[in-house]
Amino acid sequence: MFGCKNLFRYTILMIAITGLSYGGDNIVVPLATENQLLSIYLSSFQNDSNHHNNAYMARLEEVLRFDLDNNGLSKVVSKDSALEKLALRLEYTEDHNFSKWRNRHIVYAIKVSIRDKEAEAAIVSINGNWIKGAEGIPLNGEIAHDRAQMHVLADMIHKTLFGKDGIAKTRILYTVRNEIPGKKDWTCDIWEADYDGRSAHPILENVGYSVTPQYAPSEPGKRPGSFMYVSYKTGQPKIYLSSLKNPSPQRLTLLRGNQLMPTLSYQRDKIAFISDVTGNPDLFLQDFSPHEGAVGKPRQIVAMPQATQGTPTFSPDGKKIAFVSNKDGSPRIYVINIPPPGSSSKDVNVKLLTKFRRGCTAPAWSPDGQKIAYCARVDGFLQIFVYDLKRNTEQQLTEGPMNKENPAWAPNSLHLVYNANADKSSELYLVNLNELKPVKISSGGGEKRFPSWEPFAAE
Amino acid sequence: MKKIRLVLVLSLLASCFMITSCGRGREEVWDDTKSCSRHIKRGFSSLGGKQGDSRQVRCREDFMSQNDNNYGYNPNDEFIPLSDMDYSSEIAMADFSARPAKESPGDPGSPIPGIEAFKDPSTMSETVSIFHNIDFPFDSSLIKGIDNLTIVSSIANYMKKHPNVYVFIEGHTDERGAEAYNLALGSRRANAVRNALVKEGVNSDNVFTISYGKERPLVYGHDEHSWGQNRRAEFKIYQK
Repeated sequence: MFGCKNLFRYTILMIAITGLSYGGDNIVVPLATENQLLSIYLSSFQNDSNHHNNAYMARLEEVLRFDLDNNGLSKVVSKDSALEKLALRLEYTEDHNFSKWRNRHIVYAIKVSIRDKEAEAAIVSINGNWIKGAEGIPLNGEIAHDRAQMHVLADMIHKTLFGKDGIAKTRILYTVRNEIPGKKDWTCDIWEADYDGRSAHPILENVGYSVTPQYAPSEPGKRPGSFMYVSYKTGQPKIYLSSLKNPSPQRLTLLRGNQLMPTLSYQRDKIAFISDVTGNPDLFLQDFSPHEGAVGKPRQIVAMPQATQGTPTFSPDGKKIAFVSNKDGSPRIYVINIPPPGSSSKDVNVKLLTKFRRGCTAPAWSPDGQKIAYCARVDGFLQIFVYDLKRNTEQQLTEGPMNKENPAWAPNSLHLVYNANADKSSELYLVNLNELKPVKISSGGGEKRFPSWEPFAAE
Repeated sequence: MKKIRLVLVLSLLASCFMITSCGRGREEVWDDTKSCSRHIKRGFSSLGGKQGDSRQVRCREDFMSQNDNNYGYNPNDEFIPLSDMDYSSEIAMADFSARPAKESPGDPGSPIPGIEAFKDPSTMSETVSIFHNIDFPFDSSLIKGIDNLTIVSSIANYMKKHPNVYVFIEGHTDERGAEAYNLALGSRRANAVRNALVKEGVNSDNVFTISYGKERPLVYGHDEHSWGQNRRAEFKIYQK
């Protein structure tokens, strides 16, 4: 009797504890893991030139300020009149009063001057006892050109401060969808913009409804010059290759049926895509040569007749593919080792990656190979997640209303771009893993979707 | 005493399972239940020696193809399938999948023009009452309901009488899924209708599919009625 009473009390206690743990909203434990960003002071541009007025200088300063403020490693401190005066005389000498900088925890001060038709920057380490320069940035008075030059300057500063390549010079490819007035029809064209969303311009227009553009990794030493996309020009979606400078689309393959979501390996030797030539959307692999195009026949590498497969993404070493399938109910992300030719479906070991979330789609493998970004449904809205492959943990990057989809990695594996949709609008957002504060970068009309981030020039 | 202990232990286990379930939303529980039942079904099938799905064959025509031209094509001319995926023989396969049409509309050298030559059948008096949209349940490509099956039969009858008519079947989804994934899901719906038509005797060379995903909604509402209208297969036809 005594034993039964204790067992009964213990049972009630366990139920109560478990109920408290699960009965309400999920418990969120904030961890103090947000990386510390370096504080930088950017003083107003000094205009020693007669070629550009102050208003123009202010526009260029805004570009550089954005780049330094959104690189995920530094934060630009707000302007301060006292520091502006100090910045005018900023030199690393014993006379200079560095205590005011240190009091504001400023680690680097940057002073940009415009002389004749060139910009130059002085980078002063407040604590480090050095000053370095970045010179010879030509400006010609055309805003598009000079904005690009500010991005070049930002990357030079980034390299000086952090020893790594910056992403300010990189570009983003995406689609812009518009409804045709008076018709139940739409256009969807391919655009390109700087990574900050500016200098946006169409690359391909009026070549059929186009979706999912992707930069093709470049030849060593060169920036990417070509891209792939899917067009409904003839009716069924087919894969095309085109040059950025002189767009002249070429069909990748004359395979029948629908072809969707192509992606090129970093080695530029394989294209993975979805095709329903068998009557079901399965995963195919096409050997590829940048000079010859498709080589040989495409081969099927995942066949699941009862399921829908989608959105393949290569690992950086080109040996694995992550993709979406709803073979176990809700769409989830799976990973396979690319099977060799002649394999059977039983040889393909399909490993589930996203065990907890449901409705997981649009995986994107980071260039450093350590993470996979994707979107998953949380409380009715799609949010962006990052799966850490080393720790086998997932991190939610976004929250709130609007569906966030189609994440694409920057070549630094730190930033992501994605589109966030609500009703008939869709805009592009930037986010980095160190700050988790999305920044809207697109503007203007149309729905901007399916972003692809330009990779670094191959080494 | 022993009975009381047994009851307490079973109650404790049942409570743990229930409370764990309460930690998930209703949709998540339903989703996991479907996944679980799918795996259980496969497990029992394997125990019974069935390595794949099978279906009941009712007559000789079910076993042998009605039109040999619709079956038994060699995919190796076009792509390399996984070695155990035999698309060359469709006999008695439960997962029936009609072979793709010989031609690809709009491709270089194709006798079938691209989509711009195909018309909306609702704008033509002869076909307005035949080519109705087919609707689908959420996240499914199954053709259900007597209305939808009647539409399939009507279209099949029309196409068998008009062998010079070609049809594009467009697969559409509602707004709720992800954009990229829905592009592929639309393909399953379009192919489901295509398979149904070919099973009814339509020449597979006259039927093509397009997957639009949620790119072309019929209506813009955010309710089940609107979503139901958008989850559809739609048709465009071309008469040679």
